Amino acid sequence: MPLSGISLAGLYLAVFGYAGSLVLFLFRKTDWADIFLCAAFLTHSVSQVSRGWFIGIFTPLALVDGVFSLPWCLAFFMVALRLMRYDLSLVYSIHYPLLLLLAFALLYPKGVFPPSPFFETVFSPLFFLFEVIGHACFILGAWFAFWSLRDREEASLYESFLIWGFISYSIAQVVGAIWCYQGWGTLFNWGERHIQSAALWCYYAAYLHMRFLSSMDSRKRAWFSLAGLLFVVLFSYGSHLREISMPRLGG
Amino acid sequence: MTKKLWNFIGSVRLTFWLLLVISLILTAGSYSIRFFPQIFKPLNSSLLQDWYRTYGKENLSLIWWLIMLLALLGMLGINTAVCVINRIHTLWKTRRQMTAFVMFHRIIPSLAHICFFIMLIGHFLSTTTGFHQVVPLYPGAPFSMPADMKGEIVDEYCERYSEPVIISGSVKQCAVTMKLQDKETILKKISLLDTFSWNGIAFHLGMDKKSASPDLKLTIKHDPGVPLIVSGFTVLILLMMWYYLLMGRANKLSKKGIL
Repeated sequence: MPLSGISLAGLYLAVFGYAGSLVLFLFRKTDWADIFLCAAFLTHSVSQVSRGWFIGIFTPLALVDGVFSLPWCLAFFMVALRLMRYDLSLVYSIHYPLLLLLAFALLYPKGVFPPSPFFETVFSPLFFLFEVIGHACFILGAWFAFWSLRDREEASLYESFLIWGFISYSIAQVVGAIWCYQGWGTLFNWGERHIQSAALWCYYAAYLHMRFLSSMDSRKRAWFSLAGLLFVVLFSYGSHLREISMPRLGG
Repeated sequence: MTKKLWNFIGSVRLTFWLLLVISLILTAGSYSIRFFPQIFKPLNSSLLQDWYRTYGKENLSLIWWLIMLLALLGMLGINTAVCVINRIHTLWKTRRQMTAFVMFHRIIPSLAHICFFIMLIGHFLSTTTGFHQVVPLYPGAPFSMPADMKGEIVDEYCERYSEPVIISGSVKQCAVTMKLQDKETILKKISLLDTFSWNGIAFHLGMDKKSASPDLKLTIKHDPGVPLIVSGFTVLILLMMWYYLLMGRANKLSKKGIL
């Protein structure tokens, strides 16, 4: 079987595994749910890594394509929180956003972007990697903020996700700026993508400052991080939808 | 009254609202750029004031967000500077009441804000000063640079993929050889993503991806903001990581009464 076939089969199996894990959890079969979760994450990881060889040569950018790597990143955090014995129902609730993003990935063209000399730098995959980690942290931050608004005290870790998401997103901005400078001779481009990145960065920078205002209690901060989810989805998935018509190879 | 105004200008509340409004304006601006690229795209290859004279002045109704953005970023710069002065002043007065570790932990946000201020200055210099020229490429094409330096394209070539079949014929790498003349003459080959600096001027080889055959262009730039932005942002991130990693230990010391 070619690696592109393994990648696609792994993705479908992973979706099946995550869905099975959620159903088993809802039927209170926690041990089996854990087994399904681990198996799904394993096949998902194999699928994600084999995307790198989708067209026969290694294209690192395919590994960090946001549509496919963002769900993987959410799954990674879910498994990590489960291993840390974090609150079971909160951890398993991550299945809902995960399956939603995977549904989008299943409907999206599975091919990879053709290799380009502009991608032949370590800064390009690093930019997408840190951006995806940042987006995943913002999504999980909003998700836990939602549970925190429903009086789940354990969900207060949403603030940590937002802080480290902001740091990861900042690293993406620096790495992306260096890539942009190497390829286009400028650190910042007056284009839609760069402006939206700056908007998102400023939004979460505002959140960090909000934490030092006495009038902004934890409920207001939770609402703020929930609203941030709109920006993340609008900008990242808006960009993915625009790229749907771009030429892709394989898949 | 002056003190109240000073405290308001340096308040975290003002920082929060400025950042939030800037975020919303940038969002509006991103859609403006999408629908009117003919107005905003030239901003990437010219200085802000030159762009304003050519494109901005006649399209004030479309660039309102950019004017507001610049004004708000200016306010954010002032707010950051005043906030840092106030905080360092307060910390300096209470320095004997805390351990060196706690003092250091508390001063990190101020250092991070100084980095942010440096980044703002860098962006200001990048958009308003320096030199920017894009030259088309063909062997023998001459180009001029500041301070009477001269250059000429000597050679250009592109390498293409031969396999796998699926990408056969696609461009793998392109390079040009330039002859640069100042007091002495040098020959230099640069390729895509390979920036070359000479006498404070950076050379970047670019390619128009939309054309079937690679349409190469050379960007010649002197951008004084680049080192400020990159170093400022990098140190800011390191300081933030340090601050949040040390947060637990600092909180424990504070709870024990060791200020």
